Amino acid sequence: MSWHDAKQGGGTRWIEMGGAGMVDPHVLEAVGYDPEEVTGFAFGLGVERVCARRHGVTDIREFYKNDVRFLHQF
Amino acid sequence: MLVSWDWLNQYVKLDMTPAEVAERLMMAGLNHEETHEIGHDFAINLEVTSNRPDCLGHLGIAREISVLWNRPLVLPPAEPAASATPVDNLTQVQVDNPGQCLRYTARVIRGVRVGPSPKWLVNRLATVGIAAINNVVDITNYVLLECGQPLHAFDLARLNGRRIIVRQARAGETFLAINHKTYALDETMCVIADAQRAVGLGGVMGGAETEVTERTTELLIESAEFDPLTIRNTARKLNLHSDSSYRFERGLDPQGVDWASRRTCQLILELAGGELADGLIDVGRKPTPREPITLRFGQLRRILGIDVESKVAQKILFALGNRELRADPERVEVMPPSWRRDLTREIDLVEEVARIHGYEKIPEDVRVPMATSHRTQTDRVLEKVRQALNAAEFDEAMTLSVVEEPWSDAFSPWTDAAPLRSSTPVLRRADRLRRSLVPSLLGARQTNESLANPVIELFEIAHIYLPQSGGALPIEELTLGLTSGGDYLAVKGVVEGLLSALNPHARLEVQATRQELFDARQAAELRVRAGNQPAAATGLSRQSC
Repeated sequence: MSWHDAKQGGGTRWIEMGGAGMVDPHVLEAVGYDPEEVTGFAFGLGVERVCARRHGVTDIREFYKNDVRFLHQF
Repeated sequence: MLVSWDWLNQYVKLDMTPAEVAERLMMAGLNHEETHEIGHDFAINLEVTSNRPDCLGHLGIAREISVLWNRPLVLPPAEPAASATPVDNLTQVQVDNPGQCLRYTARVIRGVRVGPSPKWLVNRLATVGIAAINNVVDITNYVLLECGQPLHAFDLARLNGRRIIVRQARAGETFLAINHKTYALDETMCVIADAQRAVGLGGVMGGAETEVTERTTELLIESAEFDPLTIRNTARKLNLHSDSSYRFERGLDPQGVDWASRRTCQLILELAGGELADGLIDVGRKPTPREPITLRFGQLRRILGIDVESKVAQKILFALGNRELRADPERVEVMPPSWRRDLTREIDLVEEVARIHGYEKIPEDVRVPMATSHRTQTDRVLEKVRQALNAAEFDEAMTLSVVEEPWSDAFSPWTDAAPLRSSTPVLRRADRLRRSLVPSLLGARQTNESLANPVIELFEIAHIYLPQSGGALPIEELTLGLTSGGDYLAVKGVVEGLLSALNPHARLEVQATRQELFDARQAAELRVRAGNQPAAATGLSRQSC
């Protein structure tokens, strides 16, 4: 999944927010679905990325530093 | 993978802009990193996923463009004229380790004039960041970046016994590479040797002692196929990663071995002259035939949700190099191209049709029948836990699941079994799966103390890993940990408050506990009366309080 960003340098560009894709038939089979009957979609959202965009955080490592001054804002 | 715009243009007509090409390639699965203008050329950086080693050469990228824009792909010539002298009269090749070197081919060219490369060749290599050395070496680099098959040219006169022996390295054997560094080898590595010594580290790097110089007149051209795992392990052990090892690690087109050798010889004859000996020395396995794949056209609608005409689907598959074996209105059976080892199943063909036809053709405003999931019991309980602790002024921390040995040993109230270890540390020396959250939280506390934060109240909800005997998987217990600047009674109060938020009827029982980390007068084990399991151990750390 991508984010169309109009703010960067006046132009537009893509930012990766998380991977998504169709579920491999082998995986469906392994969990007991018939891949001839069922298809699936998987979304792997990058929660920090969404949160960083929402709150204007520029360094994603801030989320894992555990600095209470940062955490206490939310 | 850096590609030169000028170079691509040789194989497929490019009258669109580099930006248009980059955008379309990205939509078809080749992520665009950046484009730089270099001289009169553009260097386009594309991220090639590991299942697509065919795109680790300009021809592979040009093929994608040719299919996406429906244009012919012009393959360069690879039919060098040979002399009457048979190559077998000039050299021999022996492979002692066919598990590591799957196939080794050699051609011989005599009477070459080594010198500088022509400008077009120097420029193309410069665009993709490769320095020119001399025409022969440049050509081997060029063909590698053209088709993805690594090649090496040896100075035949400097090979002892004028022969090649491919074998396992010997323990204690050393090797002087063309980067003029010496490497200590071991038996897990594959070397290219002459009658006396290692002259190349198979699939990774050539040797300095037999490299091609201005005095070289006779060449042995190696084009081989190595076991991907051997190459990967060797490159990692020696920390010696090359364009060659990068490609062998990913597995190459088995049909490309001979083509790349012929292409190299063709260019050498054109640019450095000389006479090519007749024939090819070819030791090892031949390319194994591929299994045909059938695509049922009905699957396109079922999986992609859109109609793609069977004619369109077939055209895409054939343009990508799939050979038609048989077709009827319901299905088509194809033989996938040798350079696409990632195509083995029907679903792979569906994906090929989707990405070339264009994901943007899948409408965004179609209703998808979906059932919403509901929150689990765990989700609901954890939300209450977070609310209760936030209300008590605690912030939620997130720390790594692996810790260093001293941290791991510092506190383990739930088990005495040794922690599980990861073979590669996640971060510095952190290789022990944690058996308690407390050491990590004390680490987070330390970080905050170093930042001079006056109030540090943290909790974390995460799994701990309690090892089981007999090789069984560990018990992954979801646990809550707290670190606080308050005293024993304050922390006990927080735990009681949390418990009453979760279950107003539950009561805590206090028992004495002995933990090395805690001050015995300020520590206790808290149990929920209903169960037998200790619910929490709380106490003041000796070190930090």
